[in-house]
Amino acid sequence: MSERGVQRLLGSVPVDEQAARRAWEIVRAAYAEREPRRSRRRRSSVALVLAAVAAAAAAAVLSPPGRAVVNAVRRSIGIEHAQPALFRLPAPGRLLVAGGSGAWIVADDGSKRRLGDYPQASWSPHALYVVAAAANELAAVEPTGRVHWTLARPQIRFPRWGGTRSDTRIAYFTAGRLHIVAGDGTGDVAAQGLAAAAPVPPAWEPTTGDRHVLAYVTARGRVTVLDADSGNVQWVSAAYAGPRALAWSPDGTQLALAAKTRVIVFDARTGHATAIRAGGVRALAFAPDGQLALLRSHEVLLRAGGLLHTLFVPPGGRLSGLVWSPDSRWLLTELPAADEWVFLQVRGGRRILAVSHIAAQFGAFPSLSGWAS
Amino acid sequence: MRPERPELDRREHVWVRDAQRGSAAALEHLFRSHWPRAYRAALLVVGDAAAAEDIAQESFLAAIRALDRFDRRRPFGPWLHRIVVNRAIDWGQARSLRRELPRGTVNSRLRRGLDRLEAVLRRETA
Repeated sequence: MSERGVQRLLGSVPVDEQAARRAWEIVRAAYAEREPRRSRRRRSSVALVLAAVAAAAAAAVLSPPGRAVVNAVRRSIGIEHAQPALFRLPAPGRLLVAGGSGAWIVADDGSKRRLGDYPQASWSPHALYVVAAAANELAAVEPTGRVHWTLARPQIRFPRWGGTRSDTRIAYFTAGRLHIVAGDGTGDVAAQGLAAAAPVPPAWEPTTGDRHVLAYVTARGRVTVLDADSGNVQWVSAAYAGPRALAWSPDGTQLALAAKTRVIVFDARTGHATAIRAGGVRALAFAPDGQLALLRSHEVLLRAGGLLHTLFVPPGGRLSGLVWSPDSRWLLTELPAADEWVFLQVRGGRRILAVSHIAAQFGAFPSLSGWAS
Repeated sequence: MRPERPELDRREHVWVRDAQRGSAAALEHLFRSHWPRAYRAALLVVGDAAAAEDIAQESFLAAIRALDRFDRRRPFGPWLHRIVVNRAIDWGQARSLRRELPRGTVNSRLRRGLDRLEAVLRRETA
């Protein structure tokens, strides 16, 4: 269609005045608050009818060539079914998931193995083992499901394994207290030994040396970086409201915190903080090659060259969970309401692969715990 | 009678400046002036009135979030319409998850129509 045709169509499409009023109320409120915030549809059944009428009117006004353009665009967008089952992972590696039906490892050929009745799990640093947790039990498990050791502790949350091949540590919470235990299950720090922690999974510094450095968020919202061997605190940040997620960059030089209204990137050595203006981030993840991805409930963002780019906006429902493939080419996120996983290609193309019927394949919809090589 | 373009530009410059300084009245002028075009452009692309409303609305919200960084020497309209176009592309790509489609392919097809649309919008606001 020519530019003149587009111009004519632009002028002829009727504007829904109610839509304008609704939008203005939301825009005005957002301006008054001056904080990043997504809009919410406020549409009554009457408004829906009006919108439908407006759409019908618009369709009536559009000329046949105009309709052809719109239809072509919609065809190019395409609406097809997602894959009905996970036939394979789009990148090499093994995916660890956990939830109401236990912990599972998914191989890249799509085969699945259930590790046991553990609603939480995470990989060991080199993915040789899994630390898994039931409500009152912490366990070190092989990917085959064989249990190496267990510890009985009350209300276990967020088990995380870090360290080198030769010497590892596991951090976990019990009712808001932080614990650290050696990788062989010995030397558990006394329950009252460490400060109360916010409900944010702790994170081990990726290390090639012999130190064991842990970052966690205190109940007051302060990021604390702790040398787990000496017990010395390296630095403590200012307090941040609404902390939600914590992640180290793969080279250990940066530590990122998702807080309520922004993401903070700390210099890991000094604790110097740099804010990214991105509110509502619920999860964040550094790729093995250093890219930082952020997850809001309605979009996945990628930070590149100091700027944030929208990578994916779902058609509906809230997103949860974010993990990178080991080759840094794919991101995986979840749409629980749609019972779908969504693989987003970040490098080597821009494909989006959706897999449905996740709950049926695992017995319940699981959370993403990690994707390891 | 429509005001002459230079007069509109002057007014818009003042509205943007005042909105950056916190004037809700100035923001309302900007909104009233640009909502119809933003909504129509979105509707033309996505062909769905509800989605067009969301896209235009979210584009204004994005513009507000970035208003402090907006360079007042630039015209507001093309900047807003660029946001609308990007949001419309996002909307389209969100629907591509149900089929394995190269995102680049979606973009190139969508962009051909959008580029024409943008050219018109840019000319009208230049």
